[in-house]
Amino acid sequence: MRFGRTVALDGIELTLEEGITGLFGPNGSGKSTLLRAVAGLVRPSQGRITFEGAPVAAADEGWRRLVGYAGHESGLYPNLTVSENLELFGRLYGSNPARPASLLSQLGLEGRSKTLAGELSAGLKRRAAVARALVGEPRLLLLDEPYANLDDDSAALVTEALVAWREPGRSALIATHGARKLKAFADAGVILRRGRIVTQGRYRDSSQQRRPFHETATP
Amino acid sequence: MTKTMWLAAKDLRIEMRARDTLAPMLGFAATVALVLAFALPEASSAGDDVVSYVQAGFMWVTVLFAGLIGFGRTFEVERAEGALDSLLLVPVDRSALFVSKALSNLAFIVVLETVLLPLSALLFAYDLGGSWGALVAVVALVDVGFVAVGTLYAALAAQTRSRELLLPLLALPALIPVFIAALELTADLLLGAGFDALAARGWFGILVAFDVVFVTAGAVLFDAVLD
Amino acid sequence: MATASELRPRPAGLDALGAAAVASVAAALLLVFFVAREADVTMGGQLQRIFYFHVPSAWIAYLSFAIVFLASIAYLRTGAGRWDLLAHAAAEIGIVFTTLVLITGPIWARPVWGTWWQWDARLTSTLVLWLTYIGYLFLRSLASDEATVGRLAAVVGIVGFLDVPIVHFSVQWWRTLHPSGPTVANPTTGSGLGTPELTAFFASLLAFTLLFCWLLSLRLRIGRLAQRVELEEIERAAAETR
Repeated sequence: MRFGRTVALDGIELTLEEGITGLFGPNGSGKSTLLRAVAGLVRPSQGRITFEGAPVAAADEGWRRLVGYAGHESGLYPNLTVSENLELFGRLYGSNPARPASLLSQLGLEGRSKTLAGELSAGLKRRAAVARALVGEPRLLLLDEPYANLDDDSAALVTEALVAWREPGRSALIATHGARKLKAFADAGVILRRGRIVTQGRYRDSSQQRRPFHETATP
Repeated sequence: MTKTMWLAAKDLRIEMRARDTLAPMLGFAATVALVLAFALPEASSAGDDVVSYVQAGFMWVTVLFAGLIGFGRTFEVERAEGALDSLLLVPVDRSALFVSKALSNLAFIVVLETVLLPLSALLFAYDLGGSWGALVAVVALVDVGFVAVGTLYAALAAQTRSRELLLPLLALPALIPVFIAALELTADLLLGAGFDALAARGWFGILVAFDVVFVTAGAVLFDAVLD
Repeated sequence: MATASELRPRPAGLDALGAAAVASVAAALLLVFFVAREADVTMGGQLQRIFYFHVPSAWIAYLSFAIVFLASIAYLRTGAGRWDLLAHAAAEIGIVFTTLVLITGPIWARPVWGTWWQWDARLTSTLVLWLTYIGYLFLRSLASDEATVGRLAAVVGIVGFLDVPIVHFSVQWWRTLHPSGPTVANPTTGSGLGTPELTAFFASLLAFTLLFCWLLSLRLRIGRLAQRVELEEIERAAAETR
């Protein structure tokens, strides 16, 4: 996948199974680009995404409904409060009206629910961003550095929220530098280097029904 | 003294490389000149009615420019914190996004006009002839067309450099029909015409046609603009 | 791997088109200046001949922008780069012809109407058209992102063209309400145009059409070559990182 003269991703063939897959690799290896491409924020120069065997594209509303994404920025409206943000996105994703409140408590944000999203500290923004990604109960969750700027307590909250979200039929691809934190509960891992997959494999054996998620990207 | 000159030279050099300020400024100036040419009629053609035309011109030029600057701002809202990405991922039809932005822009314009019209009437001794119904009809039709074009082009310009210059540069030529109609109808109103007289002038037809075409075009093309 | 130096030479057809264009322009000039009779003094006398170039330029300009419109739609539907290139090329050439219209008009107007510019329906609409597509070209050069340029430009190409008839009609209507200066009848029609004049006119139209086709083909060729060069550079860069 190319941006002008830079090749960001090259020959990615990835099948994402149920559960949480960690995406590891040094800076510049293409983790963020891969997540954005899967989310549909950038179009791959070449390649396809299929879900449960059928091709999907960012243009399908039905597909967008199933995807939750949080990138480097919080993706929240700075002039709305945390609750207002979650409520807005909750409504737009058609989720249960109780969901925002439950996420607020899961991620320890109740105390700050009335704070404007733009005024949060970096760590709180991260947690709020994860909440926003989870509010639609996505079947495909894409997180870019959810543990950035988080102390151990906050990180634990995020981990708990992810574990609570994990269910049969749901897949997540989570990019992080904190490999150890993720490996403790992740089901599989992928290592990227210079735009290519170097290693991939499962940490846990799963005997549950497989729901393959397949992406092929070629230069 | 030389340090000041060096700094000034630096700006000129940057502009020569980037070429994103001076040329668009000239383009913008040309479009403004065009709009003003319609707003300020030749004295011979308007006769004694020239004052009404100039009053109408001032009013609508103000709304036009304030509106365009405002529309540009409404897309800035999305840029902070990457909220635009979140918005694009939401399972909502792009046409619905267009309508939502257009509605909020319409609200801003209506508030602007609600303040501006009575204020101008006071300051410049306009006499709106008591035909408030006709005025509302004119303003409503003009606003819809204005907001449709403005919202579409604002979303477009938000993705470019020099967006503050590019938005008016693109939107003003496109808005000429709306602007002319607004001028003519308002001038007639100031001269005491009632609703029926206005309808007979034929401008309503043009306004309706414009509104239909551009609201549709906006809803359909918003997808292509945002992606 | 092909190198940029292996560019294909100009195809013979393109050169033939160029020759035909030049020849037809020469023929048209002959006809316009020596076959068509001089017009009335009220229409400008010898100067009226400029309309043999003014009107065809206008038609070709509108043709160009119609091409921009259709190519923009095609691009949005298919995403194929060649439509984007066609739209861009047609817009550039259209601006050239529109500028010709805006220059030849006042040249004629000055001696005949006594003023360089008149806010008459046709000239004004042409000016709006010109500004619309200047905006199109500015947009193309000011987009922050290569990937989005085509899409954004296509939107302007479509909206701009949809606006043209509305602008034309509203300016015309505005003009009938505020007539000023001498009324502008099209000096090439309705005032005793005989066969020699019509022949000259159609010769000029043909010449301009050929000229347009030739310029468009040249521009498209340049665009395609530029794309090839860029692609080769990307491939070279990609090969280096492997």
